[in-house]
Amino acid sequence: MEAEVRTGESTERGDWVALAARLLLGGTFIALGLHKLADPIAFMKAIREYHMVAPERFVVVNAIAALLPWLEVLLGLLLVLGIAVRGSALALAILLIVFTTAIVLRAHAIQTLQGIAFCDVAFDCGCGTGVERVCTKVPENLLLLGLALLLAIRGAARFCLKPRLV
Amino acid sequence: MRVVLEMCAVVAIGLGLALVGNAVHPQGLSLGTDYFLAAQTSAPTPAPASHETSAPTGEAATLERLKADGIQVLSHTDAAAAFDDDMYQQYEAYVFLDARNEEAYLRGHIPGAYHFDPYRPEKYVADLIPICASAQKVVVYCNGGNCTDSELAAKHLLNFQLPRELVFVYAGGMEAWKAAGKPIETGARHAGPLKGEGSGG
Repeated sequence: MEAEVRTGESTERGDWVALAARLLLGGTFIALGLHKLADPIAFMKAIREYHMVAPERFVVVNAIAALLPWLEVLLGLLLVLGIAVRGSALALAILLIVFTTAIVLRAHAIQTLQGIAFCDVAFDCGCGTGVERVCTKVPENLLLLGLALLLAIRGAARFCLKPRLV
Repeated sequence: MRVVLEMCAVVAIGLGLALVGNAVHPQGLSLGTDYFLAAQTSAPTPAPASHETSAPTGEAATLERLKADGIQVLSHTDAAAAFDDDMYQQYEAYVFLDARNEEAYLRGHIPGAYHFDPYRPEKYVADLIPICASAQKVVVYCNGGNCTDSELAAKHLLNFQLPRELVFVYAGGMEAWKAAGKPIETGARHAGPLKGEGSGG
């Protein structure tokens, strides 16, 4: 009886943690996506600064700049509303891994070019948060990644409209 | 496996909605447009070897690219002289073009400068190109430093068949203009108040 009560409390606590994670992660991506949608050209210019796509393949850069912000807003909304929670969280986790890797690579390139310490590197990553030091940005992203992975693995049941699509 | 399927479904639906959203968004991007004129851009400066730390950055890199592209550069001294010249102040024989986004332009630009967004050049062709074609000098600027929008704007002007000797890029841009305490006009062209010492002329 006591074990059942404790398990129930633990599950309820876990549900609140999942809700908090959904709201924080989802809300963050909604805000960042809307910021990019307000100025798609600025976001496109920011993507170009990473030099990860050859200039002649401008269609790729244009597609990322045009479509990614909408995807971010949608995934954020799905999390906040509690729809397809695990799938949305997994998608955001993959995006965060890609973003963070790109940021670290660019920071390393800037560090090499300017001969400064890695943690002194600061630039606008195009994320929607303005110019930030890489040693602030990366931990922020890792925190969000942790939340995304938590939700992708654990999922959520309470306070959700439709937690599973499939 | 189920979570991967769910992710794929969500992303597929999301991308579909994104295509629709981009199509209806007033500032939506055209996927097939070469916004940066990649085909006309000079080769980028190669990344330096790990022991090199003196590769040009910021305005120096901008000046190198402009030179490589055969675009004339105007120093701050010459840009200020052109602004103060009667040919501009009284006869508007020179044209200044602000290549930053509209928000930055309205916050403050060189008095009398036209706004020219190099990422939406089609909006300006009908009105601006005839004005530039009849000018004696066209000076394009953006923020300065490592801002490349003025270069892009200059390339568009050349693509619109403006003579190469007519077009100049003021590489110092608004940063240099403000640092020198030169006058700044806010709001629309000739509609906003001037800030800064004097108003030229």
